[in-house]
Amino acid sequence: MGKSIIKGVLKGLGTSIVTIIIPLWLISSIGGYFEKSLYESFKTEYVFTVEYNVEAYFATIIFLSIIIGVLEESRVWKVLGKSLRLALFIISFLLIYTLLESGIFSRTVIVDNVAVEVTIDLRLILYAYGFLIVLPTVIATLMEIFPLSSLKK
Amino acid sequence: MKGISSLIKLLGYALALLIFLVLLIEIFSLTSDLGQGNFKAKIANIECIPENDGLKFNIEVSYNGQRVLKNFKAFLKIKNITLKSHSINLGHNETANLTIKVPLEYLGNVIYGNSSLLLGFEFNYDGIIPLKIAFRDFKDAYGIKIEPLKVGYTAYNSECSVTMNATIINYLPLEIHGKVVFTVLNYSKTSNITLMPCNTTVLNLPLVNVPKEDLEKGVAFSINLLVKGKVVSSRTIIIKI
Repeated sequence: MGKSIIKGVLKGLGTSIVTIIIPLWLISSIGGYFEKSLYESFKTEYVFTVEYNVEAYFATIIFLSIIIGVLEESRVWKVLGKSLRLALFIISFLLIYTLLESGIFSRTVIVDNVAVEVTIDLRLILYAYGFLIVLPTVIATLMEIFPLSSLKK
Repeated sequence: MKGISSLIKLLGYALALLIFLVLLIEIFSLTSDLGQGNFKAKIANIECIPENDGLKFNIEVSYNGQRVLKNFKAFLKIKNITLKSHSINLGHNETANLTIKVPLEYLGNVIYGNSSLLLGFEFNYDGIIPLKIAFRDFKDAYGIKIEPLKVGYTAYNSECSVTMNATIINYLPLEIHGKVVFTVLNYSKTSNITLMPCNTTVLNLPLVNVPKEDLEKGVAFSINLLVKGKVVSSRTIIIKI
């Protein structure tokens, strides 16, 4: 019992770090870095503030992922755990989508009393996350769920 | 089955990591280009087009960075209408000229209406990251410019009589009816003016008596051109003896 809980915790932690935390951290770093350098490049008086409070999201995702990991290790709750894992992926994708403002950053800076509107299209990151992380994980999880649910029948 | 699902995940993650790394490198390069001011766009000149009563903006663009700016276009946005130039690929240390033709009816909206005019450029940085930079209210670059022509003064005991000539250059193919407001210290004079399309009008400003001590410190001579109550061009010249 204790062994499977520890295994579930480690699995949940590992999965959330590899599939959600690292990509989310990378994406928010790219967005934040671009925004920061934009204000520095244009030498504006605008004070840059970090807009993304990703730490709170990280903590929630890790916590939920650990619980899901424990459920996945249980024989009774395995299917529920995997289904919840899918839901967590979809939620984290929506979270990234919101954080990235649909992938298009638009910021206004003032240079020599002229307002300059800079728009960068980072939808490629969303496509990469959606098609190369979320989609394969969803497919892989579904491939794991189907044999389990057919066994139960 | 588990082996296949793990393989799918692994392939996806590896590709995603690769894309993230490429994007990170590109963003780093893009921000360094921004920081060094490697993108430049300026209006080289504005020409009237007599045949269709429009205006032609000739925009000179240059790039001094190490990458390639694909599909580089200049654009003008008037209200919800975006007018774009043809697209070019701009490489390392390249300069090119782009042209945007603006029909007369749109210009009328800018001068007589409240439409804003945005000048900008857009491109795909290295063909990967689409970027758009737009400058708002670049009033000095288009439309009507006021330039001082000649300043003369006659000194008396404690006062100076200052005369000034200026020109108003109308780059637009529109006949503009407006008012010129000339202000010096407490003195102000408003007169009606008609600017001919794509033409220069000489403005003979009235003689003004200014205290000598003020003139020694510097006095601001302001000329404002108002069209339908809206300032479309203004110029302040500091005169000091």
